[in-house]
Amino acid sequence: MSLKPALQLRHDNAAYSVAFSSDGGLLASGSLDKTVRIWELPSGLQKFQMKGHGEAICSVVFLFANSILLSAGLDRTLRTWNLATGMLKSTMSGHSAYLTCMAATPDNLTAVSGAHDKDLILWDINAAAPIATMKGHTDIVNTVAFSPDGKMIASGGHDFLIRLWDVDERKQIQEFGPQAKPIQCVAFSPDGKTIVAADESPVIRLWDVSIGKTLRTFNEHKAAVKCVAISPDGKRLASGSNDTSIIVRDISTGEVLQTLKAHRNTIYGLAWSFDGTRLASASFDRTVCVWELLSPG
Amino acid sequence: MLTIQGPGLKLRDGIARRTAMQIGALGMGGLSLPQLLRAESATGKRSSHKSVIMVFLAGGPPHQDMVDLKPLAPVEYRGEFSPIHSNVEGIEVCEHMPLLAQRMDQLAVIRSLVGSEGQHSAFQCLHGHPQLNQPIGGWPCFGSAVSRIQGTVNSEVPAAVALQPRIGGAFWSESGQGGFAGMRHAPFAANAPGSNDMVLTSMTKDTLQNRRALLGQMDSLRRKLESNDVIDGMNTFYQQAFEILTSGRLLNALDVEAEDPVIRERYGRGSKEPAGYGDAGWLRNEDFLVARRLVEAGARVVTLSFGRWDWHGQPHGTNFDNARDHIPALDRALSALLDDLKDRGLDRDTSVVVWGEFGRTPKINNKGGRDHWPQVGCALLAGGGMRTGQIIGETNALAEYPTKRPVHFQEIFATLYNRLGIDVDHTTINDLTGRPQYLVDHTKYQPLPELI
Repeated sequence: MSLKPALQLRHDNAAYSVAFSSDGGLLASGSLDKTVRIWELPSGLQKFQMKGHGEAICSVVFLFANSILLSAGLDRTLRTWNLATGMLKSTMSGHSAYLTCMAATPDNLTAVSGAHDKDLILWDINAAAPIATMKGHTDIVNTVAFSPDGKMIASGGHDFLIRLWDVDERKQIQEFGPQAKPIQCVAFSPDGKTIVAADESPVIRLWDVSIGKTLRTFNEHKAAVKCVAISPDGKRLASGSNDTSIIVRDISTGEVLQTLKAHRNTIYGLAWSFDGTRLASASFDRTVCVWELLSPG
Repeated sequence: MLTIQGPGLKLRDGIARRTAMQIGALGMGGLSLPQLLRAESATGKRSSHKSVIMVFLAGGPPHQDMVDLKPLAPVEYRGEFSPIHSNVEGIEVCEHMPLLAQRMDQLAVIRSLVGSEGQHSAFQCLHGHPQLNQPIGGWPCFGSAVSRIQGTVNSEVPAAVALQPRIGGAFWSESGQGGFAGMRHAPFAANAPGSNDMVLTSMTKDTLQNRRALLGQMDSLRRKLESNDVIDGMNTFYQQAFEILTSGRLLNALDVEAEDPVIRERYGRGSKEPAGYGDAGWLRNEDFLVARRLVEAGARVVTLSFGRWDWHGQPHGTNFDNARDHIPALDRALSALLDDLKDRGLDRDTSVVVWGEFGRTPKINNKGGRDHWPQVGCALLAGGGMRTGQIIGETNALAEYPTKRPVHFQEIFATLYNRLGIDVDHTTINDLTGRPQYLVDHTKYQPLPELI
């Protein structure tokens, strides 16, 4: 397996978030420059530059067969954008402080956001309205993720804990930790049985969801890990760090498959394409990189 | 902003792409066209004149991550960066300043800057005085005071030019006030758009001349109605305004596209997008080049604001994320400026100062940021015939406070005035009550003897 740099796309300020469309034809990126940009792949041509958020965009997700993009910003709003026109479709607000993270269920019906107000809010995407507020974190929430079946949420933040939530019951069911530092990122494996998470250290932990135990640690980064992404086949783990590198590992053996170096600053966002042949990275160096797999598998 | 189109102002191809050259900020603080101009006549052209380029790092640069690293401090203080050697033995700077490290012989590093008012504002760096308790009329900024004292070098370029853009965070983007030196000495704010702009669309030089003739007729009529010295004075300003607008010298200096592309590339480009998260100026390396062009054209004081250095941490990136973004840009732009000034023989006549309103907290906060720290900050000085290649001042092991040779903001100003040939012991400007005001508190603060 080897990834090679294919594109380097530029924002006017730090890039925080990336997502591939399910067909691999588009890439979305969100930035501190307050824009969401839609890039055509493989050309890298910018299709839309969508303005409306009043602050940095921390998360982006393609929805409904790539007809809608959902974005979340520090301006406390979630916004949906029509990808046929690039126009704003709806705006959702409810948090009382910086909104820092967002994820959507695989059926695209529900989103969850976390914020500096310590809350998680569940959203009905079609209705553009909040469903419920889930309280439990005692400090800033930095990261959220849905399980692949959409029934659980993992979240983490400045209270050093990874919390698991039952979506239907809208309550916390488990917590892992505390870690030594604020939790920066969480991700479910495709089978939903494990969670990958990192606090503000170079260490990445693989947790068994059912028993809440650490199965494995990965410790190759030289500085804090800010983002993780597991490939759709569940075999590879990509992590981005303050050390400006991206490390791709075999998740079962821990073997480092490749260290990717193209960025000059912290990596804040990572996403695999749905077919697992491409990886996108968003960095504080104002760029988004697309990496292509040379030998699939 | 006054926008004029036409062949009379066409400098080169680059101008056409911008559709019009804009003379900015005629409306700054209520300024009108004549207020661009100084009152005095031109004092004669010289091949070179003393000048100052001031680079304001809005928000407060982290002294301990740039020029006063503490690698032996505990991890929650020392940060993520390592020091590197410079071309001056014993002077180390941040690893993200490799170009400046190789030019440290051309720089004096102040590691013990004190006297910050603690205000999040460009005011103290631009004016040399606190914002609070100003004399009647307000303190003139450095450029305004110099304009008042020394006048212009030529009739086509104002003595003081500010390149700061006018954006949301006005306290960071202000260009400096005329104060009791007079509004006509306020810096010409070249990049300041705004609602007060005066935009003359579709106006050519010919129509401008016609308007001048019309204006002259109106003024003549007015003079018949009332004899008024103010109006007579205004005529002088208008005349000089037209000289500037039609000469092209100022416009050419502001036109970075007229520069040799090789030199331009050395500075790096940057962008006119607001840096940080939109409440500060841009991070535009080319402003350093424009500053040199303005000095060459006759400006005595050029100020610019570079980026946003107020780095409290996530979710807007940690102090170190932002430092990795800004410090290399400063490294490149300032290095290029030093080289350029030297290559052109301007390095002994042009002083350069780089600083912000305060330093940053020694201890890193829980969001990866550093907060405001007025207790101590840093400054870089270069050129002007100063004795460079030295460190002045020292802080304790955590970069919390000076332990040796604290340097006050006003000592820096006294040094800059000295480099311009202005004696702070004897030069005063009357405030609006007629009371003479010294430029700095000269009984306490004198030019730094280490530098002059």
